[in-house]
Amino acid sequence: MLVTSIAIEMPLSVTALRPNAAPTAGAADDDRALISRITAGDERALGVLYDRYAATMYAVAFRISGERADAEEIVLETFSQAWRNAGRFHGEKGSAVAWLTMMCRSRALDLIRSRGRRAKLVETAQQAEPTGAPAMGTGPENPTDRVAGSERAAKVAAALESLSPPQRQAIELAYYEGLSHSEIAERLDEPLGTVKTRVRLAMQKLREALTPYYFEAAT
Amino acid sequence: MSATIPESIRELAAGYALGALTPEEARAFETALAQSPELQREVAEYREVNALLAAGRGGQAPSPEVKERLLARVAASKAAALPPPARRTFPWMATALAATTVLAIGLGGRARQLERDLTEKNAALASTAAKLAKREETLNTLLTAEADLSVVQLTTSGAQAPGMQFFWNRRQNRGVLHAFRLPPAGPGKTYQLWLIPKDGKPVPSVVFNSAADGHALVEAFQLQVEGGFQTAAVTIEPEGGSSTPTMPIVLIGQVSGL
Repeated sequence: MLVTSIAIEMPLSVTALRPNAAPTAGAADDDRALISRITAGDERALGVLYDRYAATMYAVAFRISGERADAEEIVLETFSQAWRNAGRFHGEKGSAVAWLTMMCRSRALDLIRSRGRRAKLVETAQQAEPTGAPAMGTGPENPTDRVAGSERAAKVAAALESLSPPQRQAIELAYYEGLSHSEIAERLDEPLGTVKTRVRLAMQKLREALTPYYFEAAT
Repeated sequence: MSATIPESIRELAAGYALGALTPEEARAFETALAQSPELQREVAEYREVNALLAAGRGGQAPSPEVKERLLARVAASKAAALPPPARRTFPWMATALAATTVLAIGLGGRARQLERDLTEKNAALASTAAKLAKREETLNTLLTAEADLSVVQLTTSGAQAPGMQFFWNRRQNRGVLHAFRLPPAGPGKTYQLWLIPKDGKPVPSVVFNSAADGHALVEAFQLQVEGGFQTAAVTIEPEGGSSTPTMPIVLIGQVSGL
């Protein structure tokens, strides 16, 4: 028998953040100019915007969808939507990356929700489940796994670590799985009011900690 | 302004930005949102937090083909929107043309938008058709095996432990994988299937990853092992896969009835 040990790698929690090539806050005005050019039909501007944010969108899409091909399709559709809807972007109401993230998450969550429906169809085939020892759970993070990078990424990681584990879990379920308050409450077997408060306080805490690091100040 | 916003509505701002509200809550919040610059600012700030959570994650870029496809798609939509070649006109038409120019510009913009949308929809349709063809291939892999279909249940221990079903069409030597409750492998990592023949030397097979909901489906794929195998196992490997398995084994199962 090949088995020498059995262990399951724990799912990445949102605390396991790694820095990436996110642009500096000074890029905000530049982003607005790019989107103006995209509105005017300049595909080179779209290429620049893509080069700047594709990795960020891909990371989110992959984290949500779990499959490279799906994540790439989501990135493609996100930037295609940006091309079509650039005229509807309001720079004074938020940053380009916030706008892109909103579209990217929406597409990725739509995909996993459609998968969820598919998964129900095969649930009946999953009766032969094992019994016994180690159950899955949310294991501890390995701090050395986190690499210090840009100031922004480090601050995001620090802000997430400042949340309590239940707050982080609630945010993760909402952000990466697209669960509603009531679905989170059901999943965690917690009262709905508790979950709502947890999500609200966690987001308030993140907002307070991260305001200086917005891609640009929301007005 | 803040005095006019009920606390019960204000408390929904974070959940709204995350998309965690019920449709009823979202409608009530949007009614208030439309009239409150303060709420709009609050939601915008929460969306910036969402963006920061995205930017804090790993920075691996999608493959270069994605950008090529994007730019090709855009170029196609622009080409479709180009005006037809100019034709010879007559002086008496000048007035009429001038009168219709303003209208034409407006209609032209709308037409370009429609053509752009049509190109996008055609591309989306082609993508859906390709996925459907793959799904049919998967179904055929299962259905054409008849008596030559083996189902390997790969398991580990634990009440809520992950599992995987490996459907093996022995006639075509093709497989389909379906995993459940399997957490994503993590940045830079992937799951890899190993097929272990009688001699015990693992043969590398497909790499895959699971979605956030723990599900993974690997549609019809060819098995690169001659003479069958007795055991199937899954390990976590660096992205792209490995030629030899990295311990520990995550899931394992025996082919029964051989």
